[in-house]
Amino acid sequence: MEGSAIQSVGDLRFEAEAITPATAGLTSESHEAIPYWGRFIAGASRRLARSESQTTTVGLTLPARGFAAVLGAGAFVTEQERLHPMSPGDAEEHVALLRSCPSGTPIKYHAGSKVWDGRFIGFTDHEGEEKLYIETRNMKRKLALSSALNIRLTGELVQSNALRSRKVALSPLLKSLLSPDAALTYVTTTRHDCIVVGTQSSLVGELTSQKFFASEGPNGSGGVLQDIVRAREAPGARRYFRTVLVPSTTGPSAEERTFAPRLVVFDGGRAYLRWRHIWRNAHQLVLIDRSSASAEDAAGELSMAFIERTGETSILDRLAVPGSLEAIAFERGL
Amino acid sequence: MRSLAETAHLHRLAEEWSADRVLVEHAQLEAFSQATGHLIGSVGEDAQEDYWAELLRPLKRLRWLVATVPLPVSHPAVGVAPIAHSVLPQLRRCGRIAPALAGTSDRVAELLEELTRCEDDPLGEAVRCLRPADPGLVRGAGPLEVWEMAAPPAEPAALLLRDGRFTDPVRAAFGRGWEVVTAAELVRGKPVGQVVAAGPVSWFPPAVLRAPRSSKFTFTYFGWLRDHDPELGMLTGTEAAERIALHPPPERAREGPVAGQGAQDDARAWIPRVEWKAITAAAGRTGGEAHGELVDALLFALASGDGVYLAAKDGAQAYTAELEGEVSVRQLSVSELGEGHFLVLRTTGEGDYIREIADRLLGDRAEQLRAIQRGWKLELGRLVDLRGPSGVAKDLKELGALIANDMNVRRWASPESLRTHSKEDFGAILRLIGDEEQFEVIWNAMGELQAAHMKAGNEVRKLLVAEIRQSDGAELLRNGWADYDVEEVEGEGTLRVARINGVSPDLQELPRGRLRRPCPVGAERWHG
Repeated sequence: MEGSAIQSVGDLRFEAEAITPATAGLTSESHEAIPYWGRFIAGASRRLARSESQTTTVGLTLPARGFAAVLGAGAFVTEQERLHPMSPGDAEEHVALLRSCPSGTPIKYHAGSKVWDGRFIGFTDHEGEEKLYIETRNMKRKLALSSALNIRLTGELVQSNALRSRKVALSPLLKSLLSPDAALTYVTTTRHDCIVVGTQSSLVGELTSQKFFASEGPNGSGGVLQDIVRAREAPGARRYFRTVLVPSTTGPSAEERTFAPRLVVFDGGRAYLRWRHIWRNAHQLVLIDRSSASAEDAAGELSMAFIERTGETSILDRLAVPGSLEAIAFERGL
Repeated sequence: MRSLAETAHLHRLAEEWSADRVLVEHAQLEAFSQATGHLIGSVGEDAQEDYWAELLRPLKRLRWLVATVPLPVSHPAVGVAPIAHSVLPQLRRCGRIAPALAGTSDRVAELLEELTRCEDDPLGEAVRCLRPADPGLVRGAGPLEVWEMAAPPAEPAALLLRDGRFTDPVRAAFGRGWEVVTAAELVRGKPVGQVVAAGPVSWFPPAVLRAPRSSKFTFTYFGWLRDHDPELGMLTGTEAAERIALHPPPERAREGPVAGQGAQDDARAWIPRVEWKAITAAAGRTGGEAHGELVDALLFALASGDGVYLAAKDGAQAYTAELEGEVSVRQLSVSELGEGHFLVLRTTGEGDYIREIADRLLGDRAEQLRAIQRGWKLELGRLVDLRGPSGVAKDLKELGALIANDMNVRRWASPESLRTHSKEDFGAILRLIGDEEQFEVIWNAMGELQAAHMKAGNEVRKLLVAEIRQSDGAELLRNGWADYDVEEVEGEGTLRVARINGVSPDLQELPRGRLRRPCPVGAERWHG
């Protein structure tokens, strides 16, 4: 992919502190490759994004569930963006899509690195030529149909904010995974690709406090996983997001229950036990922390789902399961 | 939140851990354990009878304590003296009650008397031997007299106990260099250099090895116990081969002053079980007077040494605390409650503290609203008594109720429910009791009560969560229970959060006033 340096979240490096029981409190920092268990989870999630099936379950038990959900979500949403980009690729198809949009549909108008908030008004005739008709801040524009690819649907139903224009600074981490153009669309559009059900404060902490790098090189290539995962509940993605975090204690709101994500990550046995009946049409990544009280019950339920599976899957084929994990994968019925 | 490096370290431990078993021999304790086991086996099914139950329970408890608490046998925390004091007279009487067992009981009595004078600490000594000595200081080589560590400080070691109630005396006995922890604390804590467990593997939750927090485990236990390997795999359908990391125990020593006698007891048979007959009797004695109509209730045995009755039917709910991930408090249906859940209870006063707090929030309005509530419930209850829940449900359906059935009718008539979900159901109830014209007044009054209950519940939940967070939940994890003085609930009694250790298999019919009030039943009664 043009502009992208690495293929997956699993290829990132992270800022590590040397941890040994003997040197507790004495730490040194280095950039290390993501450990194999993290690359495995990212790899399995990418495969879920590529799967032709819609309802595959991948279940893992882990000695600790830290970072598993966010690495899985990050790998999934970026792969999903590569496979089904929100930046249009075919001008004719995109014009056809715009024709189906009602007047007032929120859009972004891209011009170089500058992005205008806008509304799609419709099509209009101008001196005998059909034009795209959009509204941006203080301006109504008539654009040639050949400019259609510069108009991106935001994924929102209504334009909630005042229209403005801005230069978007892209995270180097995101640019290492997506081309600059795709990255620009990625951070200015919304899609409910992934839902993560878990402990929100821990998830937000993992998304925002651990530094990652696209290479061993200068720190300029760094960022946090939130740059990639774009969780609505974490800073910086409230309006344009790819992931929704749902607290496992209170569960989804009425609105969140209506979302149609492609992947649901159950971060912890409790999340799976309580909310597995929602979003039945999505892939599931079930992460069971073996140290938690709910692990036994959740593993029992997951095993039962495996016994009642409707088919086999090759999703984990030729992926060596790390020694610290147990893994199963299967197809569920709708 | 753990950093990625810390999480990666835990994954490494899961790939690298190994566990050994060390057998501890002590002739006197083995003789006592074998004789007690022989007596238990000889009594057989009669063990449930009062005489034998009162005799065997403390003996089993003592056998369990000396095998799980690494302290000298005569240490007050083990409590051999009071147990001997209570049991010896009964053992001496055994010849008159069961002449065939006189020899065995005399032998147990003789060994028990010897134990009261025994200052040996076989388990503690075995544990201490497993800890590498601290390196100490040596004089540096430079011109100044600088003392340096001879070697890096030894990695912290954890001493794993089965029962958190003994962490304080064990910590005092072992001193610096040991972190004395329970299984719950170990799996939630930071990794340690090694873990030495006081007891066989089968006495600890499998999570200790499924989510190892050290690369090195040693289980120390008496040679006359036969241990079992835990099931470490959790999922059906996994193909990964399990790594053999838990080593079998060594052969028992056949010679020497503390040579084993050969026979081994199944370690799992020593694990205390909840003895419902004793607990129910104790709860009956300590539960105090109560009023209200009779309801079906389940008895829950708590880690705090309390028993508590909860209504078992009609959608009854109870507050529970959850410590997984972030601390939370929420309501669960009583039918969902089981071992391991943490129940939230008030230690004094009426069990329904939410109702009292709601009344306080309502101020002067409370009395009027409660009178309205009592009015329609009394009338509905009277009809239920007269026609039965099925008959009332049938009438309500005819009057336009949407979800009238036996269970819902009982719930609507109970003082714990406030109003129905739908106006149709409530309207049918009021039509049935002849209060239809008061619909708006009663519906709104019940709505006001419901709002106050929700506010009270949310307040208590928020405050309790803050209290548990502030204390880090450590005491709760260690002991299985803790009391929290929630400031705003002051005067309403301390809130006790306690782990459920068991749920009685049988329902009991009790006055409603007995519900939700913890009553002491004694920890020793769990040794069935």
